Amino acid sequence: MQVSTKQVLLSVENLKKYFPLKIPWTQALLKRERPTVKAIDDISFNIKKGETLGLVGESGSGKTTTGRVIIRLIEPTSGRILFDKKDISKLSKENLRRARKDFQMIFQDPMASLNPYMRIGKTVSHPLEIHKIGTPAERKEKVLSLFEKVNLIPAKEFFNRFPRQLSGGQRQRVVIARAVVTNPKFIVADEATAMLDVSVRSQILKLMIDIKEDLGLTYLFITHDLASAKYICDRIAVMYLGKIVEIAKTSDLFKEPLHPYTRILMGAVPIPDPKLKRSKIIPKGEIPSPINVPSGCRFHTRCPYATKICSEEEPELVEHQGRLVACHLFDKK
Amino acid sequence: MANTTNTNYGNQMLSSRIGRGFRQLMGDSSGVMTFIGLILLSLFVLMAIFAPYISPYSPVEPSGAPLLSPQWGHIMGTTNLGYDVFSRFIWGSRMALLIAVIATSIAAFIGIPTGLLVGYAGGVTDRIVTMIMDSVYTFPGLILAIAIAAMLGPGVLNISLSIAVVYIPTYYRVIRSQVSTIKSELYVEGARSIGAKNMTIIGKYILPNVLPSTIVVLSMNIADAVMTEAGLSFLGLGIPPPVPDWGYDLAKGQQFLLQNDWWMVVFPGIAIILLVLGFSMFAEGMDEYLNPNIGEKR
Repeated sequence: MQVSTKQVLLSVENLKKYFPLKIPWTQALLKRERPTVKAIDDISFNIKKGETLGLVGESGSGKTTTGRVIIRLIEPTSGRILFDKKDISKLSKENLRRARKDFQMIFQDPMASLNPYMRIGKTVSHPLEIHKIGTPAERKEKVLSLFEKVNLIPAKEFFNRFPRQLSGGQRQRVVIARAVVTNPKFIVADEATAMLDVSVRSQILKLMIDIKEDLGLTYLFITHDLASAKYICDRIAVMYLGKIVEIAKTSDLFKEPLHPYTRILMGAVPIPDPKLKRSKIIPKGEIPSPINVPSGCRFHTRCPYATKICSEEEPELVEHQGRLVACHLFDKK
Repeated sequence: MANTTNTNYGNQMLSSRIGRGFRQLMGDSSGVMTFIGLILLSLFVLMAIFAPYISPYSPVEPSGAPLLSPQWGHIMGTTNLGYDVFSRFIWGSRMALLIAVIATSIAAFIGIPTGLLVGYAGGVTDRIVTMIMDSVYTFPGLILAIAIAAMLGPGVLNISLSIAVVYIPTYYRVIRSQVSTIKSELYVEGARSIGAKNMTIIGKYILPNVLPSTIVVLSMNIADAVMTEAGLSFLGLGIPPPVPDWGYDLAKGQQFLLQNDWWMVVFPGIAIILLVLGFSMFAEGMDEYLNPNIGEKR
């Protein structure tokens, strides 16, 4: 039902985020150019209404920054973020604050993302208060019904509890409830299940899928855990050093990863079968520093297939068999 | 350094050192310490409230022969003017508590909001205000209070004000350092992501998280203010006589100590010690109760 309209909800165009590095002022006087960390370096992608786009990559690849910049918790350096055809990167502070009810975030650490001195009922109804939705009684009603939906039962009892009285999984349910209480259209889930143990993780993933279908949500699901991504995502974008190297349907990506980096990531997923032998490609070395990004394709320093052109020319994200990939191996120009 | 983030409540404050010593002495039974502190405190507060009913004589009129030693009828003796020392002991708690509480309230009302706002704003504002506060902080407390008191002249409010100025930086530093850590917590970012205004974030997400340490600073501060007030009136910069005041009584009694008239010095001294001890012990005990992280990391 959902993908039939194929309407684009969020469209990111040439988004960049550079963090200036702090250097002693004595050096700052001498240097003309301040060194920057290129956390996001010119990325573009679309998310359709009702879709779940996964954003995967190693730590340090810029995926968390991407999530934050998209909902403008961090200001972008340049680029456009079109949400429902409105450019939210240009909104004024007050308009942005009002618009926030339409896009929410689920944070990684449920232990740290709830105010320890606020009862969870209040925590969840607070977004409604801020955006002046409903009367106090209606708000409470709404929160209680949401608690039941996210399986915090008995809801009335949970309403007056403090975060410290809840387990990690229950807290993540609270965080999810807070994120959806204003009926948003879009949610960024930043490693939403990374801090939970495996049994709770699948429950939370299932809850996220249920809620998505109930409320017609669209997710950007940021994770380093490919198993979770496979479970929840319709499409997956693979990030490396602030660039998207491949975007494909989840099934395609897992069946046949194209970009060498994606292949390596896939090779890192454990398979529960000791007899199965796979040809594993192990990348050389560590992820390079985002301050001194390698020339040409940024993966060429670690890529087993690297040729001469890879260190000279940066590959574009081009279409190959109906998917997007940025690699000279597939660039048939 | 200005940027220390641990909850090190102004080592400048004498009372914090006293309290800490007691905590080490008590070890695990710091609950007992808090309790003793609380009892001492309530005794003095009750004494202050019911002073007119408890004190046997008026504290500002001669009630017997001068310089009587402690005896039946004058259990703490009389002063050189024939005032009853016990009555002055009781009434003195009024002045001590009154000035300490007013001074601490002024300091808190200025220091806490400044710390909150500046800590949240950060940047250049933060640097400038912190520099000003630090320069006040580096002054020895009593000397600064003497200077201001001498400028303002006597009077309850003036004395309170001069003591308050000394303690504003204590609040500012504690609050600012906590706010600058808390503002980068995930739940503050969460509050921003739901569209909360800055003032809402400060009031509902940051303030409740710094309040426990504020309470500790507050009660330690009162203890210190009691000492500073006694110091000021000892030096003759306090409330003008004959208003009963421990510090003034100490100074007066000192002149008669050589004649072995010890009671004029000992009893006001004991009063100051007990009241300060009560606040210090209570504060230190509360510190442990409100900050469970001191013993173990959460």
